[in-house]
Amino acid sequence: MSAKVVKGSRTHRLIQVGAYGGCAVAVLLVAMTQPDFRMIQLTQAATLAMAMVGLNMLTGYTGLASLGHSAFVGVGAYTAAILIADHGWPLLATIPVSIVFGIVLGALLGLPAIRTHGMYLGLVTFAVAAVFPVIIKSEALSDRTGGANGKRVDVAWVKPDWFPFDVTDRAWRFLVAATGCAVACLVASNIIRSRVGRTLISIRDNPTAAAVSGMQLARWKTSVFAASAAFAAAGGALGSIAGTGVAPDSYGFLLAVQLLLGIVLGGIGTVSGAIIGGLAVVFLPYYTSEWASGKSFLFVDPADSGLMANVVYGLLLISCVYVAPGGAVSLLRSVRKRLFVVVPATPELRDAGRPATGAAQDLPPQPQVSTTVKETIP
Amino acid sequence: MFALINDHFFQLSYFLQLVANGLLNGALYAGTALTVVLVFLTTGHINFAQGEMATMSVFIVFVLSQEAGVPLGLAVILTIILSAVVGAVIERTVVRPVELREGHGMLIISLGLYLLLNALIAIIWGTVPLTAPKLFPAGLDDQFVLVEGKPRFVITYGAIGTWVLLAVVVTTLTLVLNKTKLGLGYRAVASNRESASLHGVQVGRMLMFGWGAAAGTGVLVGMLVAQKNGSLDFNLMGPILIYGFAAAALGGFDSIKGAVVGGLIVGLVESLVPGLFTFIGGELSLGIALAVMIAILIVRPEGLFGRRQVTRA
Repeated sequence: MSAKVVKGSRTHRLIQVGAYGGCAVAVLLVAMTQPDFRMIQLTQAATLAMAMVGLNMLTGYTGLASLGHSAFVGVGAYTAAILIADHGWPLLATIPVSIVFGIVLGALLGLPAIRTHGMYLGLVTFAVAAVFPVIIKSEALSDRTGGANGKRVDVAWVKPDWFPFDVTDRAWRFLVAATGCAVACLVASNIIRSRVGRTLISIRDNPTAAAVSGMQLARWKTSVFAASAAFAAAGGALGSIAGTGVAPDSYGFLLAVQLLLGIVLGGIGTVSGAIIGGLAVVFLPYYTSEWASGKSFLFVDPADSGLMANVVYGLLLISCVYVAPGGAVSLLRSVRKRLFVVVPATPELRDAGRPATGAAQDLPPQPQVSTTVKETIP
Repeated sequence: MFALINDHFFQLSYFLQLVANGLLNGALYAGTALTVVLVFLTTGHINFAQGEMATMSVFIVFVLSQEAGVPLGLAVILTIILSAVVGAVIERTVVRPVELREGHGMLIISLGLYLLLNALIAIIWGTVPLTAPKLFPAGLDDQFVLVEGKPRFVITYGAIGTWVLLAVVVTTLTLVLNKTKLGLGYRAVASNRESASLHGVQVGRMLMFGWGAAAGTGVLVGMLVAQKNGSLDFNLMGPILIYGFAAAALGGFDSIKGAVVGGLIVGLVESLVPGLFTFIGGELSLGIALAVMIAILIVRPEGLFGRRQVTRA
């Protein structure tokens, strides 16, 4: 029998603060101890996770599948790259511009979502993902985008003096990316828990009922596409902090599938699943190709060891649908359920916790709480 | 003055060559769209792995004919049978359990199959292009020169073979679907799965038939694409599949006639538009296919020949 914790109670707040604080400390420890190449990987994971947060808002919460988010990430990345490399903008100033471009493109791509759904929408967005590298590589744009060669971006940030911990410059950039990711998660989870989020979920679960209740489906779908694209573009722009530059083919269909894979593995319809997803799409290919390159009998050509990652991706995607449809987060949640259950505060409990005097008072001791809750829950 | 219009466009032989090229590519897109439609009709799903299944079967033809010494025709027939069986087995084992589930299960599974097959092909046969097995003669002189001079207007034997083979495939499929009991059951499931089931049609078998027919047709389409490219690599169907999707969207995902007409239209547009305007490079033809597809899905989501879906909430 797991303990019950009332939502909003002091115990609940303590657990929350402990969990988030623990995560922050863990990130800081990783930044202080791990080598620089690991920092680059983690920076990529954090910025990809930002795009996945956006994709999850669209696919997980609103039920609209998108295979085109690679294009939004690409738009963000290229906007930032061009502004930084050609116009000398500071990185952080490019993020709002990238977000605006993301919103515009997302709203445009959201237009087909008004009339198409399910597989059809997947198809439209698939075409966008396929065509984005072609457009970037085209002659007309190549003096801006660098064509097929891509563009070098130097964000030579060094650790500022006020930062009290001993980290390298790369690690500092990772910490900035991780902060960006945390902000994205915070914004998304607040959106999801608000009236907006409930609207999106209602559109996913029963569009007709949502429309009858006064939701303008067309407007909501276009808006959520735009918002979701904004997250992806912000992730793409912040991704330039990893210092690897931009190349057209890294924003193609494979990235779109990786983003989808990330949210499927992490958990469709969760915010925190994006972080697990971001880590997965960076480290899965790294470790699989490392493992496969030692087994040369598997391949015609040892240089193709990277292909093994796609085999693993494919198998994981298929098996995830069967084994863990809720992704890693649902597994973690079932573990948490064994430790404690968060129950919503009933009106009586809220009144008991907040007397008319307005003075802060503790809730009744835990055993009483749990019995009260047991009685009030049908 | 910057010339926007390509003047060659109005030379008859140049124009005819563009049309012939467009119809050749269009036939390949039509064939790809056909395989997508065959799966969609009964299941209502789009199989993103359709192209990779076709690529894999062309490699199997390659192994049978050039390494095991089986005559090409026999190798193709054996591969069609093998692919159809494998397609049906994939439907029964991987797809069926999640097919009716809520959410994006089918989309995710077909993407997983796509990645898996694509990587497996590259791992087994390498990433270096091989010489493609060819159904029709493809030498430099294997063509009819219809208009001499500059520019010439030629039609290759391969193009004629492609059109004939596509016509044969479409005719066969139409006959099977309209004149046999199997086809009747398939059409019943496509029309209304529940009613068909209540009338004693074995729905599961029809779903397997749809996947099998699509995989079998895919072998021929893959062979034709390899014939046109002249080479065979793990990415054989990648570029074609997008155009195939555009063709199916244009014609309607639930119409065989639509797939053929849609494919030919997409092929013609892709060939004629960059041929007419100088400022649209050939590399942007993908963008044209995309624009056609999005426009159709916005204006008429069911496509030119599709049935409007009426659903009760």
